Amino acid sequence: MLRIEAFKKLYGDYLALEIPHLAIEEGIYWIKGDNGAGKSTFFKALAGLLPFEGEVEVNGISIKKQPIAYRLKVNYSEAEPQFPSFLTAKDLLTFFAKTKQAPSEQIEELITVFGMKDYWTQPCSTYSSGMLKKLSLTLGFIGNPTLIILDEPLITIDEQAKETLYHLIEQYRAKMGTSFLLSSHHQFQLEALAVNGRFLVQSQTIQPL
Amino acid sequence: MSAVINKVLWRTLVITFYRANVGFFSLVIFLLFGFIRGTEHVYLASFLVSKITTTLFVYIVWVVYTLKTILFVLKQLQTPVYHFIFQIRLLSIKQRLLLWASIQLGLLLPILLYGVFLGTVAMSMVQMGIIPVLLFYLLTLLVVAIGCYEYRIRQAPFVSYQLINIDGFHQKWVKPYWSYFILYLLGSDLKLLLLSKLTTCGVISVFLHFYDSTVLDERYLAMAVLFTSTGNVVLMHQLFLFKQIQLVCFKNLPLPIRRDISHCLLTILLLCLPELMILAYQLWLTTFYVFTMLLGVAWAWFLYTLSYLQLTQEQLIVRIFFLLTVSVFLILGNLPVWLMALIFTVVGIYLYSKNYYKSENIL
Repeated sequence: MLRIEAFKKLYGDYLALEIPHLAIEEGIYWIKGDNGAGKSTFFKALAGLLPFEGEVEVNGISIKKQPIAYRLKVNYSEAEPQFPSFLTAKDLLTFFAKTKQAPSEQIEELITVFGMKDYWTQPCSTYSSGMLKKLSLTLGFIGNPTLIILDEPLITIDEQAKETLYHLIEQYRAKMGTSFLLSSHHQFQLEALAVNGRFLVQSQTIQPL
Repeated sequence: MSAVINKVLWRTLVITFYRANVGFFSLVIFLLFGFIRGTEHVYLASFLVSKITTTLFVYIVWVVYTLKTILFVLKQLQTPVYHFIFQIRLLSIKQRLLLWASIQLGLLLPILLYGVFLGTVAMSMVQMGIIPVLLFYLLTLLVVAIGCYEYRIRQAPFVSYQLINIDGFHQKWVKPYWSYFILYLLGSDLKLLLLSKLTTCGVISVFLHFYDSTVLDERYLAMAVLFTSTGNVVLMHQLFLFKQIQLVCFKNLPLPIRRDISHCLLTILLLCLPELMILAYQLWLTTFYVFTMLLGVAWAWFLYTLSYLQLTQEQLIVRIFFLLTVSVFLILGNLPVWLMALIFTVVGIYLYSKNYYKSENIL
């Protein structure tokens, strides 16, 4: 499903992450690592938010050679989401759904399960951190992705939203065969999911646990 | 305690101001010391301090500069990472005013130095009456700035400036992608938008006032449009930063580059609308003028795409200066304006397509 070759991410002269080779099959994977280890950098690079050296492919689709096709199949939800304060969840979801070729019913379903209906027409400036996180997670599930990257999906959201998230992950996995890369320090809650493998980001690289 | 706070404020406001404006100061130093000789400086200063009315020229420039420093500090105070500064409300009013005075004197250092220079020239010319006038000017600028900061610090850290109440608009309409940056400017950076547009519209209006289209060479109009459009460089760089910071998650979207470019071009066209309207109002809409307008928009677009080269502020300014000079020579060499507009558009599209995914916010 995911293949990484000669991956290298530098910030100026500082080597943040180097992965000579990594191949991951379909499934749910937990990416662990201490604060500042490079998990978010890894996720952002995979999501196409950060440039890097090397090659990343999802089901044979290259992020560099087929950037549009790749982004259609890889979704991302950031750890600490930030959106322009004047935009509403409706603006963002509508635009994301259009580009990710998602049906409008999917937006309706997602905002209902995450309990966003009451405020989705309000600007982001009025949202709490939990509401922003729910919006970010909703954007992560838009479309028909092959891989969903969820960076710290459990932070700031309430227990009900966590249950919804577990349910959605299982649902997407069962119905669409979507794979997941998750990072979390909340070990016990994540173990409620059938995780297929664990990786540790440490010493500027990533290795199986 | 105040000395420590003063040191922290100097680091967060004064030094940051000079760092953020290193390009601007480099340009000013380059213009002042690259083109004007020492004797000419003295001659200019002698003219400026010859009468009280002529000192007003200096005062206007100082007011603009002070405005720049005030806007910078207010913007910093609006930024969440600088909200700790609001803790100085715990100090006494006297301590606070002294702190603001220290900060503002640091920010006004260039004009204070020039003030000393003007004062020395005035003394050598035995124009002693000018010195209190200069001191009065500086004092008013200092007091106004201190007043602004003190007023702001007494407000809540988060103050949202919104031009119009758009709550109803939020609920009814889905905002189009091309409007995001304009809405951002209207909501959060209105000062930048107004200052940029006032400058560019002012330049083009002054030029058109003196331009006689029946007699003068049309190439001058093309050059004026090019210079005016260069006034949008800050806005264009802000557009780049907006996309890199506020819309960073949009890089995960499978948005075809051509669609993204069309959105950007529409945004830039709308931003250039005030200048285009002035041009259209003042001139007959002949083919040449339409091409000249297109040149202005194409140049602004090109300036925007230059930001994707991940250059430092100084490198960017040097490149713009070089490209502007080359463009002026090409206009003087009678290169068709439509061709130049086409070149800027196509090269811009190439730069954008090549660097969009490679770009990141390195600041």
